Amino acid sequence: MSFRYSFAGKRYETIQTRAAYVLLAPTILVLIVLFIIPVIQVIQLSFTSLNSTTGTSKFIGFNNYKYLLTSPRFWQSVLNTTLFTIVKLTSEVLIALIIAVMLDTHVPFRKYLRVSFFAPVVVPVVASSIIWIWFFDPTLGPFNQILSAFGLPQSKWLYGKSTALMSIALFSIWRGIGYDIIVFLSGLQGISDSYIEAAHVDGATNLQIFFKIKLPLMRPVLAFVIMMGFIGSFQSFTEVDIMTPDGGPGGSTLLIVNYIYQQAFGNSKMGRGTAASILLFLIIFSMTYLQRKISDRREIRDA
Amino acid sequence: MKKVVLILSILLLAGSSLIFASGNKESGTESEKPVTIEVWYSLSGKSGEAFKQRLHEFTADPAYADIKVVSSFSGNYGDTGTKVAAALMSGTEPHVIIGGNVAYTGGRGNFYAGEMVSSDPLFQKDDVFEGLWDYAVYENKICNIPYGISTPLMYYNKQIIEKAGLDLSTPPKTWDEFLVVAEKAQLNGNINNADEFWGFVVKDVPWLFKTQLSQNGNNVFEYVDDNYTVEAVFDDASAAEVAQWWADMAAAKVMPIGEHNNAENVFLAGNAAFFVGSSTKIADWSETMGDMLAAIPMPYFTYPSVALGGNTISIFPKKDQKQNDAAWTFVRYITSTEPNAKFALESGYMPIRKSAIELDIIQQAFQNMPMYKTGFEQLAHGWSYINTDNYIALDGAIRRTIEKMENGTADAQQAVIDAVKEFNIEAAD
Amino acid sequence: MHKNKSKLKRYNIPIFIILMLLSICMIFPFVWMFLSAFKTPADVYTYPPKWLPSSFKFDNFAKVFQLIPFGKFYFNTIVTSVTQTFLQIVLSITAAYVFAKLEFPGKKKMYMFVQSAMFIPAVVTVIPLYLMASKVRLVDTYAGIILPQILGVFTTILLISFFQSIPDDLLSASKIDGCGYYRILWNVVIPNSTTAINAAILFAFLSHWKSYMWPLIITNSTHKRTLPVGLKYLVTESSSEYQVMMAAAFMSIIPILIVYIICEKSFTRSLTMTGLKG
Repeated sequence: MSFRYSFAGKRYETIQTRAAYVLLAPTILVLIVLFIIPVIQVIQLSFTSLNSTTGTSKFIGFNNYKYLLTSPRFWQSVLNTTLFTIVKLTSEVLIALIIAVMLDTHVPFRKYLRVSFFAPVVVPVVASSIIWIWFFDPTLGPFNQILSAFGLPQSKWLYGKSTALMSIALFSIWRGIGYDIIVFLSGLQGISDSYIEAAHVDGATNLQIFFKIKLPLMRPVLAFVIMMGFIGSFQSFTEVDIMTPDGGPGGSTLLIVNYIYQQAFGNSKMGRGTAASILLFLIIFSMTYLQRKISDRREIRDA
Repeated sequence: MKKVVLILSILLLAGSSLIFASGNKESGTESEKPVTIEVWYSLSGKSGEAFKQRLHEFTADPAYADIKVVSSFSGNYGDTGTKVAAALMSGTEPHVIIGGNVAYTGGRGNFYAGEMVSSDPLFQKDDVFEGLWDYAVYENKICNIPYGISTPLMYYNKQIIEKAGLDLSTPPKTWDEFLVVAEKAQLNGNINNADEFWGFVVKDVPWLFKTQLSQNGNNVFEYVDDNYTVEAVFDDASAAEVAQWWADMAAAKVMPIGEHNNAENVFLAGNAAFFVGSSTKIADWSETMGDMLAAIPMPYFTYPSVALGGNTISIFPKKDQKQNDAAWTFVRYITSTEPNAKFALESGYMPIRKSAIELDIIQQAFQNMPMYKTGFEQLAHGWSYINTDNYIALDGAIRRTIEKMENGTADAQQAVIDAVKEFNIEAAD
Repeated sequence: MHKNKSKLKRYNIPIFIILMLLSICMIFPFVWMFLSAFKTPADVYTYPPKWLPSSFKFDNFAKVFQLIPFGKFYFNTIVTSVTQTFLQIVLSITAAYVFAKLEFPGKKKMYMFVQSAMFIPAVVTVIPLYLMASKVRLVDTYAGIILPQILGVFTTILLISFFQSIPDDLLSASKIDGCGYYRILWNVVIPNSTTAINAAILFAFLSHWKSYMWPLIITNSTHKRTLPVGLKYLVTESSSEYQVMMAAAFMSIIPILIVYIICEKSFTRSLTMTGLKG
């Protein structure tokens, strides 16, 4: 029998409530085991000196954090990750937008084009990393060959201190751009024809239409892609682990997650590893919080 | 009704995954024959194949029919370390590891291997080259067994040396003499007319650096008291001289700055005259370079010395004595004279036993493979430093020092002092 | 879809050419991989690099199987991906239904709780999950690979927004017919959301297939490894033998590419769904 009842000012129904709890229980259980407990442990562990080789662990207060905040290697990884993210995101979004606009015009073989742009996204990262390692080989790889065919200077790609990180960014852009293109394309195609036609009737050029109508309407899509891209590339791990597992020349490709992995699983210093992951979380959290604040303010302004 | 189905299917899948789990663990074969032991090996390339060949021979030998070996490749040295740490934490470590750090055995109070080699006369401990035991001790007590021991060789490309008109039958002895030869080779030996052509390249910078330290009398680490407290000592004048060498090599433009990760490919493509690498390259590069590959003994600073490389065997005793016996039998087999010699020849590692020299196959190898003979003769100058589980911190400090020196941005003495400081911070808790 | 009313037959040729050039850049790596999978060491270690193989033998492919148990990796990956996806989707569907269509005390708080899980970078929970797994001896087991990865907040939120768009009248109609809430989920909500559920399944399956960091950490022995991890070990095992690595990459990529080309519409749809929900 189903009863209505009131709780904290709202009205509910017993059978519905019970169904809700039953169906939600597995998820909550999983969340507790895979999320709550690990997070609590991470915080705990970050105050210890747990060493997984020797199995010893003692409470050392904020030492791990002190170590990290004064460690040039840690800051280098933060810098690397930031640089990597900025370069990758801006290039990727810009190029993707341009390509999406181009795809939106009247061109043949749309399906083939879409498939070819999106294929790198689908393919397993590890497999494509392997291919690109060869590409980047200064002596044995085709990239330098192509460069010299065009009369351009050769690059050291993954083996040069100033070029390694950008090489990985290039690979990452190739991998991610298809996703952005598809999302932008569907955003563009979702813009109602009536707007476009009305603007044409008013005598606007295609360029004006793009900047004054399409772009503003794409803002939420753009914001979404940028934010997801930011969170994603800040957590990049696989590309670097395959291509430059030791952190690249002079540590120039060591990203934050790779640094954490090195500390926790290479050096066996799990205390430091957990402290570093908390710092990473704080960085990402504050960035998304800032971004939310900015976009909220803009929404209020625009309303 | 449907809720029941839903919950049941969830449970079913959870249950079957757990069944999967238990079904895939090695269940202890306590009282049934054959005894199963688990062996991990961090050997790859030709060494991996050479080891697997010994596994085949062991399995095919009727004398060992009651022992079953389950083996798996555990990755490179670093990955293996991760796996071992994990396994030790969960009690799932294998019986034998080829390539485990002494920190995992001796560092945890496991000196089983040491006890066995001393107590089992069949092992013939005295037949093993004495200097090799240094590579397998923790706090001066034996805890591992040397198995795949390599010495670093100064390889060169015969084609390049010929084109440069050089004769290496009396090879350069000191690093100063070597620089002269390398420069000549760089000047006249560019067989590919490459834009970038070098006299000397090296990939494993820390290994060469440690070798050079030993040549100057520096032991990297020292025990400072009876409690085996370890101190890093690579910050004195002898170390500074070694650091300065790297700066000089870069300044002379005979070695590229900071491109060590790519050194192997550069050498294999014929764009460098000399390359420092493990003796295992003799086997690994036999197809790609064939006859073009040759080697001279490692040049030195004050006196000849090379840092030993390679791997040792770790043994983890379990509660079941039958398994321990099986594991020991296996280890004894692969370290006995002939199997070990065959392994060495096929992989480029050095044989660990003096009795191996008498074998025909070794004698022939010395005649037909002069590189192998060179590598072997260097064993007499083999040296190991005190093992540390902070080897990543050590190698990292070395790499950063070298980077500074190559870029000419530091004074050698200051650089090595900073290196030790950095190591101490990284290695601390 | 908007139609270009003007000049239906006139294609924009210059833009098409640019797009074709770009698309060649995008698929060039795959072409290279295909050609190089057949190269011999001599083809590889020359300077300047050769593009075409000297012959089309399958030696490298055979070598891959010699070096690593490739078939086992495929098997492991399929088993773990399928199981993970199934579990994850089950959890997502049930949770999404609850949040989209049911009312109960604490709903808002629970929802925020679920959402917040999305903000934790995976690497944060990796270390303690790993320590937990070692304590219960799940290291190097299928369960160890599968269980810690069944949390799918993204798919849940995707399904929530889709379920919300199902008209409530549909549900009230079934209620009047005497259906309990579970049956509504089974008979009404699920059948009406096949597109979204398929999209979620595709998304989940793809990310589990490619999953790298967790399987890397949790597996020790060769025969438990999944494909991405196994490939990494190939890189270490075959050191600089590029052509062998290409053969392995080829065998890993081609099946996925084929599946993708066949199901392209669904892939695109699933991604735009996840994309447009802000």
